[in-house]
Amino acid sequence: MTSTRSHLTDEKKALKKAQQRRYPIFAFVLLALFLVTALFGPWFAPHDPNAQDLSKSLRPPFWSENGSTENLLGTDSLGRDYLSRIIYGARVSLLVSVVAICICGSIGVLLGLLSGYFGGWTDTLIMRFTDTWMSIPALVLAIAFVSLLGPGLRNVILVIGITAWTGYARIVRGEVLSLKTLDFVSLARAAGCSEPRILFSHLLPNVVNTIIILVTLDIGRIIIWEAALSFLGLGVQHPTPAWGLMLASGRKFITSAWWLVTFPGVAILMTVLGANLTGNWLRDVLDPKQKLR
Amino acid sequence: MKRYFIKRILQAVVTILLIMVLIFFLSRALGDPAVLFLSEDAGPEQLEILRESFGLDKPIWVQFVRYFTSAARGDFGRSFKWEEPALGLVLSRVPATMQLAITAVLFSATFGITLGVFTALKRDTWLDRFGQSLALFGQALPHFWLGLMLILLFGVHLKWLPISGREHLSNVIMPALTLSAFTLASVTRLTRSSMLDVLNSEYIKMVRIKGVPERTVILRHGLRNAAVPILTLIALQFSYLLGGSVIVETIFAWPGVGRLAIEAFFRRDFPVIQVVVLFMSFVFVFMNLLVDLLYAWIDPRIRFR
Repeated sequence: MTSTRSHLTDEKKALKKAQQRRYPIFAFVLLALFLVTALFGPWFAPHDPNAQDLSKSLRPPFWSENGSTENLLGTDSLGRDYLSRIIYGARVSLLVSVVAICICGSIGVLLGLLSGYFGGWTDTLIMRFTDTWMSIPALVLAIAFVSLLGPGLRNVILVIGITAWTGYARIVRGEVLSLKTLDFVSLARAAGCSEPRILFSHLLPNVVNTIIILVTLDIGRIIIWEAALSFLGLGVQHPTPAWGLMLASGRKFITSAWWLVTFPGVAILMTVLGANLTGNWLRDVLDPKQKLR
Repeated sequence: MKRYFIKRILQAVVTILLIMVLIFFLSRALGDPAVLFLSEDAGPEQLEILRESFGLDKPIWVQFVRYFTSAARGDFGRSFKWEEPALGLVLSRVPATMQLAITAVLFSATFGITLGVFTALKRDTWLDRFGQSLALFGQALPHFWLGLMLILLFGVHLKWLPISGREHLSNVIMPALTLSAFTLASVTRLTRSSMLDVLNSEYIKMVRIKGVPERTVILRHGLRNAAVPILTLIALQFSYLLGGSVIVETIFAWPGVGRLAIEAFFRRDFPVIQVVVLFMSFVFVFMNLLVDLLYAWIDPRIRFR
C-alpha cells in the first residue's frame, strides 16, 4: 500500500535524482559513433562505396563460410563493400536530419511564436492550419508532396521539413502563452520595444531550452523518416548509399543474403537509440520537473 | 450534451473541407494539374483537351467550385493507369487496410496495456526497468526494419508464417505485429504513467481502505480511470498507423490502400494519390471525433468546458 509520505516526497526525490544523474555514457558513445562516422567516414572506409565488382557479388560477412576479411560485412548484389556503404550512409542521415530539422524547426517555432503571442484571429488561423496539417497522416502527405516535386535527396529534405513542423508549433505556442503573462513582456512593451524585438529578443531565448529538447528528441524520428522514404523509393536514389535505400535493395535477396537487410537496420537503430537517450537525458537536465517517474 | 456533439461534428466537417482546400491548392501550386491527371507522355493536344474538360483554363475560383461540386458527386477524377474512377479504386482496397489496422490496434492495445499495467504495479523493479527499456528500444526501432527481421526469422528461417499476400488469416499476423510496433511503445509508456497517476490518488486509497481485493482495485477502479488518455492516444495513433500501413503493406505485399498509394506514385497517378490522402485524413478526423464524443460521454466534466 503506498503511504502518503512517499507521495509527498516523490517530487523532491525525482529532482534530487535528476541532479545526481550520471551521464548516459552508452547514449553518448552511440551518438559520437554516428557523428564520427558521418563526418570522417571517408577517411576510414575500407573501400569505395560505389566500386562494383560483380565477381564478388553477394559475399557474406567475414565470419561466415565464403566470407572474407576483405569485405567485413559482406557485399551487395553489385559486389560493393557493405561496410563502406553503411559508413557513407551515415552522411546522408546526418545531412538530412540536420537540414530538415532546421527547416521544420524554423517554420514551427515561428508559427508557434506568432500564434502564442498575438492570439486572437492569428492564433485561431494558425492553429486551425496546424490541426488540418496534422490530420493528414504524415507519410501519405509526404507521398503526395514527392509525387508533385519528384524524388531525390534535396526534395526529401524539403518534404520532411514541411511535414514535421506541427509539434514545434504547438509546443512553442504553449510556452509563449504562459510566458507572455509574465512581467518582462509588459515591461518590454512599456519600454517601447517593437513586436519583432519582443518576439525574438525576449520571448525566443526563453523557449530555447524547450526547442533544444524537441530537436534532440526529433533527430531520431527524422532519421527514421528519411530511411522510410528512401526505403519506399521516394527519397534518395541509386547509387547514393543511404540506409533506407540499402534496406529496400536488400529486400529482394532476403532469402539468400540476410546481411543486406540486417546491418543498415542495426545502424539506424543504434543511431536513433543514441539520439533518443541523449534527448531524454537533456530533457531531464534542462527541465527535471517533466520527468517525475 | 447534444450541443457539444453538434459542435464537435461541425468542427470535424470543417477540418475535412479545409484538407480538401489544402490539396486543391497544393496540386495547383506545385504541378501542372493537366500533366498530373493525364500522363507525362501526353501530347500537347491531349493536354489542351484535358485542360478544357477540367476547366483548368477557367479562373481559379471557378475551378475551386467545380472541385467541390464534383467531390460532392463522388467524382474525384479517374485513374488513368487503372482506367477506373479513383474513388472506387481506393474504396476497393479499404477492407484489407482496415483488417490490418484493426488487428494492429488490438495487438498494440493488448500488449501495450498489459505491459504498462505490470510495469506500473512493479515500479522500480527489474520488470519495470525491462519494460521501460523495451519501450525505449521500440521507439528507436525503424519499423520497416522490424518487418524485414520478422520475415527473416519467421518466414525464411523458421518458416512458421507466410511472408506475403492475403490468402489466409495467418497472413495478417506479421504485418499486424509490425504495424503495432509503431504504437506499442507509446501505449506502454502512457499506460504506465497514467496508472501511476491514478493509483496514487485519494479515491484509490479510499477503495483500498474499504477492503476491496487488490485485483478489483487495479482493474475496475484503477485501469478504468486511467483508460481515457490511453484511448485518446490509441485513436491519435491511428493516423500514424494509417501512414505506417504504406510501409507495412509494401513489405508484405498486402493489397491495401497504402500499397495502392505507392503503386500510384510510381505510375504518376495523382488522382489516386489525392483520394488516398483524403480518405486517410477522413478516417483520422472521424476517429478523433469518435474518441472525443466517447470521452464526453464517459466523463461528463468535459461537456461543460
